[in-house]
Amino acid sequence: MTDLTDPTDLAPRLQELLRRHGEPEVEVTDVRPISGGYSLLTYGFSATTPVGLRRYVLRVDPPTGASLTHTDRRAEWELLSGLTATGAVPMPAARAFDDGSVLGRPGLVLDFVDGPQLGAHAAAADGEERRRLAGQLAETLAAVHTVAPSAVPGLAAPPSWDDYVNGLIAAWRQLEADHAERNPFLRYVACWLETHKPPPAPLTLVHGEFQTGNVMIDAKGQMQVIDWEYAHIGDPRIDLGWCQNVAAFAPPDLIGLDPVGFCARYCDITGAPAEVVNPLTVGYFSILAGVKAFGALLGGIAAMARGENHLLTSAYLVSAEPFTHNLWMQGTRQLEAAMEALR
Amino acid sequence: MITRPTTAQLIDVVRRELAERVAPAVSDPQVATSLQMVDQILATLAVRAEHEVGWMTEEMAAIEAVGQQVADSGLPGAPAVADALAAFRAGRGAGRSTAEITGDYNAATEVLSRCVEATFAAGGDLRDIVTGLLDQRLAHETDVIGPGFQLVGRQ
Repeated sequence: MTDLTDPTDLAPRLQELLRRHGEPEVEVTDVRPISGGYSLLTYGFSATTPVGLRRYVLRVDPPTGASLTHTDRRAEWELLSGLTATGAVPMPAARAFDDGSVLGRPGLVLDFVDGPQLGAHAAAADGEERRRLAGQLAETLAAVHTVAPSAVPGLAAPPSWDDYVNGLIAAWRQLEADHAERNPFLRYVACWLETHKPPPAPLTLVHGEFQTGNVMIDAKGQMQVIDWEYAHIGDPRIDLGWCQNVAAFAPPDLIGLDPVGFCARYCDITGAPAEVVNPLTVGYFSILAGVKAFGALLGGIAAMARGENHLLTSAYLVSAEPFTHNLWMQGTRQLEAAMEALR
Repeated sequence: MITRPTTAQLIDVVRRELAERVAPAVSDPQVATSLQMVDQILATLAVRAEHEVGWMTEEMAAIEAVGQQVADSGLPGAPAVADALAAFRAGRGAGRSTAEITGDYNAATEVLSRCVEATFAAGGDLRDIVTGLLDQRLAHETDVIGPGFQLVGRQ
């Protein structure tokens, strides 16, 4: 297979892909890598047709062994093309899919969002703008979580809320069992999650990796949610929790500006009761939600320890382990104290 | 063998060269991100080279003492702690190489994990003592990554 990291090689392949998806007269130019992310290769490119010029994004699988995780581009395409058809979720429209026969590896093409990441924008914003963004973020999350399940028929639902949460707690324990060395913090977290479960919530579509780095702000100021590879049916609070979890690594924490107000706005839109969605339950899910991303992180580190991968990203992410341990210890203590104060 | 300059000093020289001469010449954003990652890795290696064997040795002694307390506590999880403690003691090597100490440390960590599980529900002083061991480990881990660690992100 030709090396897809060469943009000059990608242009003719993208032209062919767009031709197969209804653009017979198209010229692809200006293919540029987009940095960031730890799993897929991402490129921006221009496509000129008789109608005019548009920018798109290509998300394509990396070479085998060059990524911390593997997710399925076809499943992502089926989800995103379905959501594009509904128009109910603020996200870049999905335009084309390739099973690898054109690009060499599976990939999909989406509209390019001409604007900054929410995280970068919020980091540079003043307090008033951040509060406005927090309200908009609550509305964006609510839009994702109120999608009709019939719009995403390809996503299997867990049998029950208990199965969903117990499965995630079991995943924490399994993570430790599978790792290259023993980790007492993982065992501590599993104990804590088991003994502090919140009231259940109805299962919905969840993004699965919702954070301000995966929200773009378009030219009209609208938020657009990207990178849906971990979408699934689950407890919607896992998206709020993960968003807050990541903000600890990459501030500012838009939910944490006014957690009570944020949850109230979210509840207003979704109809969720306050005893189900509140800062304490979001806090619980900020810890529970970490299992997938932390699992990917530890999986890469363990593979490196076994001599099975030599990824710089895995070596780098060893530094994220202590940072995460600290979040868990601080987070569980603060939540316990807050829960105790309410008793 | 040569011990001066220290490993940490040598790593510091490499970091300076990368930051002051290599990084300014890099225009590709993906390569620039890689350089940032390399710098963070090197920074952690410098601290580990200075301290990790000493820290592991100290921590193993503390875990062994607390593990014995939990094993003797009569808590439901105490027998599991006693088993791990026996395995740690039986498997402990006499060597002082990093590989041997790391192996011993891993067995001691299993003792600590079982102490966490044994004392979590019971609460009380013993749980506080065990949690104190976690805090001590975390303090060393935080020293390794340095203050203000943030993930290198999308640009």
